[in-house]
Amino acid sequence: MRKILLVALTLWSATATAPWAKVKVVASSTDLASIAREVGGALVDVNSIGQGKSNLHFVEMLPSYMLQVSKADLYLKIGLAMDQWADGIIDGSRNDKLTVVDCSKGIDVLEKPSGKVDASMGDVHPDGNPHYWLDPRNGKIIADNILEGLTKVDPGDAATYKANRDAFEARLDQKWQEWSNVASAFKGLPIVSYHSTFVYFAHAFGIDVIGYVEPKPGIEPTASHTAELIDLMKQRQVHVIFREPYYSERAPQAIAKETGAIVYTAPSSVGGTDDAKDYVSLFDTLVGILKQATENRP
Amino acid sequence: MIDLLQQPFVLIGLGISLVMAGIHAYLGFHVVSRGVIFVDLSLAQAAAFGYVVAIFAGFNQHSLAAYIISLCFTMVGALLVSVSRLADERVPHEAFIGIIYAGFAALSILFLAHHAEGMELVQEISNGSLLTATITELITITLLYSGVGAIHYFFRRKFFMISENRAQAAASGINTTVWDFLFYATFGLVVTSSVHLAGVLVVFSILVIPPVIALFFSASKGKRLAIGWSVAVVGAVVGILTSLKLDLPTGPSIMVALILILALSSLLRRFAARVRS
Repeated sequence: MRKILLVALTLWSATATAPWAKVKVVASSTDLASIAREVGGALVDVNSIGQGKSNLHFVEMLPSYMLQVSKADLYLKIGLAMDQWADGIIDGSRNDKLTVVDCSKGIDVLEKPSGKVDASMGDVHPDGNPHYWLDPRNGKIIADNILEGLTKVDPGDAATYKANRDAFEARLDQKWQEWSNVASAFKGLPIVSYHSTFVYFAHAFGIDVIGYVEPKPGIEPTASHTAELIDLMKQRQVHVIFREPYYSERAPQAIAKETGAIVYTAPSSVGGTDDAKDYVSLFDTLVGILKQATENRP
Repeated sequence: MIDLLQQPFVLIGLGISLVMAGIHAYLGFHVVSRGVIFVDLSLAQAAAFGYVVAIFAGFNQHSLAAYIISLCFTMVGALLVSVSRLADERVPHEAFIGIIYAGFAALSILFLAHHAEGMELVQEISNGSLLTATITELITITLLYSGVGAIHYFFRRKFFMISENRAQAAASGINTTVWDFLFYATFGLVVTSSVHLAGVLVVFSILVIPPVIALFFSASKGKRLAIGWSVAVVGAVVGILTSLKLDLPTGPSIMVALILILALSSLLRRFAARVRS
């Protein structure tokens, strides 16, 4: 009996909210979590459900996800139909006090299909390509959305959040100059990636994604598509293949062997490789890979 | 742990697993007695193929039309299972059940070769998670499974006779193919709903493991059903609690809990046999 009381007491003290408690934020991806840490600073406690090395299209449900969200103040969604699994977690957590922010709000969406989307197009997102965080300029829009959410759940600290946001955006602006300078060395570089992950990244840095290892988004490589891709790569002299960490290396390596290209493991999220520790170093890593690839050029 | 148990998502998950334990341990009794262990996979695949056909025909995956088409294909699967039992057992029934599974799986892949959206849907159909189930789903399956349970209670003599002694049932003038169809049709109805909620592997485990354990300890029908139900309930509850405690996916936790009970039961049975001799 005494033991039960003790356990109950510990649990109560752990869950009771104190005025000095941090704002609890749960994000669908490590990228949103990283930006939330920048904007929230010491006032927030941020967790991410998707991991950097995992495919954000699919998430295996764990009890702790539901529990985290049931206690959270703010949930950050990727949106654009990327993290539909988040709805299951949000609904299941039955947290009436939860504020949900769709971080894709205000983004200039690329590859928005014109006309009707049908299943024959593959796993095309009807709302457009959802990998918008891979343009660092969109990082500022994400930060604005997060600021709005944090201000709503914790209006008392709005000034601090705003100052943090401003500092983060100033840093992004400065890094943008730096990255752009490096990127001028590989402007127009043709590359191939596994999935249509790097469309925003390519748009931002002026590289040319000429094809994908997948014949259509979400569809396993097929023989005829691979053969066509190899021909195209030879014709365009493509020597860089980007493989997202969660896709198999087999098909990219087979293509690399035929074409003489090199396969680079390109993080599509914070934590995707060890170097990509936060939102800024994610781009340091990606730009670094392309710089190295240009130097390696045969 | 205590505050975890007050979470609605945990209570709904527990509720669904208990309702599932109730009907599946019962249906599993028949499935194991009839030696049609993989029939649930075949019927679930038939249902998934129904959704594929619906998408192909241009219906929304969540529409009523898609559900009805899927149900029709479940019935086609049930019909194929019931007519593929050869009277003289030249070919084991399980062989046909496997072929039915493979056929529907292959057709699904061919239909979806250029339709990836559907592939995600098929995954969704077979990879449910107890943790994200809703209260509406709990109420729906409780009503549906009670209905199926009532049909089985009403015709219990025929179902049990066919499961336990097919030759005798046929000799007494029962049309086994017709009754088999009714059995597999109701079974398919339950399995497709459960697979959608809990995933194909959990449904398979909770269907087959409890009746197998029951066979270790008793030959009598009543005792086997009672043991089967107890094992299913204990396995489901222990599995869910372990998944909460250690933060692991719920489905595999339930399966491992059931398999551990199976292993312990097997040891217990050997020990009991040695003591007796």
